[in-house]
Amino acid sequence: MRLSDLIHGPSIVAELQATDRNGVIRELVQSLADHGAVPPESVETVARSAIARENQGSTGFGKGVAVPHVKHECLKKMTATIGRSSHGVDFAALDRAPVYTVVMLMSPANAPEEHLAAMERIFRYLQRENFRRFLRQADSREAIIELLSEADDSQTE
Amino acid sequence: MRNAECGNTRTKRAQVPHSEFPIPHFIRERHVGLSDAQAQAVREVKIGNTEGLHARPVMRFIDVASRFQSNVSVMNVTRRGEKVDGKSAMQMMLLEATQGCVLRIEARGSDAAAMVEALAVLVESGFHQHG
Repeated sequence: MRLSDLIHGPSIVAELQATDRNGVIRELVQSLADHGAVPPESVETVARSAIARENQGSTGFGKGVAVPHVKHECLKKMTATIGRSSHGVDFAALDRAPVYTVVMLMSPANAPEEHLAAMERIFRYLQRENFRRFLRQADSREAIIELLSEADDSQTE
Repeated sequence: MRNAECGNTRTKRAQVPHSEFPIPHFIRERHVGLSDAQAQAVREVKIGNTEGLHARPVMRFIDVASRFQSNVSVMNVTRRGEKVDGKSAMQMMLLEATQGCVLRIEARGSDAAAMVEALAVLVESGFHQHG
């Protein structure tokens, strides 16, 4: 699985307007809906569900990244997007540090294998310090898309 | 064997010579509670919950692991994946452990046996949650 296939390019938000966790989640779900990756009528449900999920335990895995996610029956196809915040957002992360890169993953219900495979892919990349750093520095949608595709090409697996 | 020279009066019969002598696999498997920093414990556990080892279970795993001094590595035996650091949430997400996968939990350190036991209980309980 290539990350550039998983991440829905047009929905990437290079500079998040929201400054708090719930706002960021809403902004990303809205962006996915605006670009046809999530049904518009599901925005509220999906955003609420992602926030509820976050309240059960933060997806701020540390090192400036968070991976909020939802599994919901109103989602027919797995999709994901990326939001970047230059100010940093409080996600109650594991290391308490602010989050600069948010990877938001939306999965259909009853597809746990696919969900875990996507998570594996996302974290395989986020593991690399350079990838995290460049992602944080990429200040346009195009730059982020290019970075994803370069990372895919350098992935030997 | 040089072990007799180590002069530790508290050495018990069951204790295994360390540092110069690799702990045999069959003894590790029984996770004998060795009382030194080289103590090791290994357990294989099956993922029972339907959603597999997703983010929340990983966070619970990290939470339990971090209560112990020992180092712990985890490997998805079913997928023959790499060994990852059981105290790193990011690395644990690489296991891609779906329902039915067998994890090999390997701890090394003073509280290795207790750590492996606690982690095995957590996994076997389905991470104390539904799904």
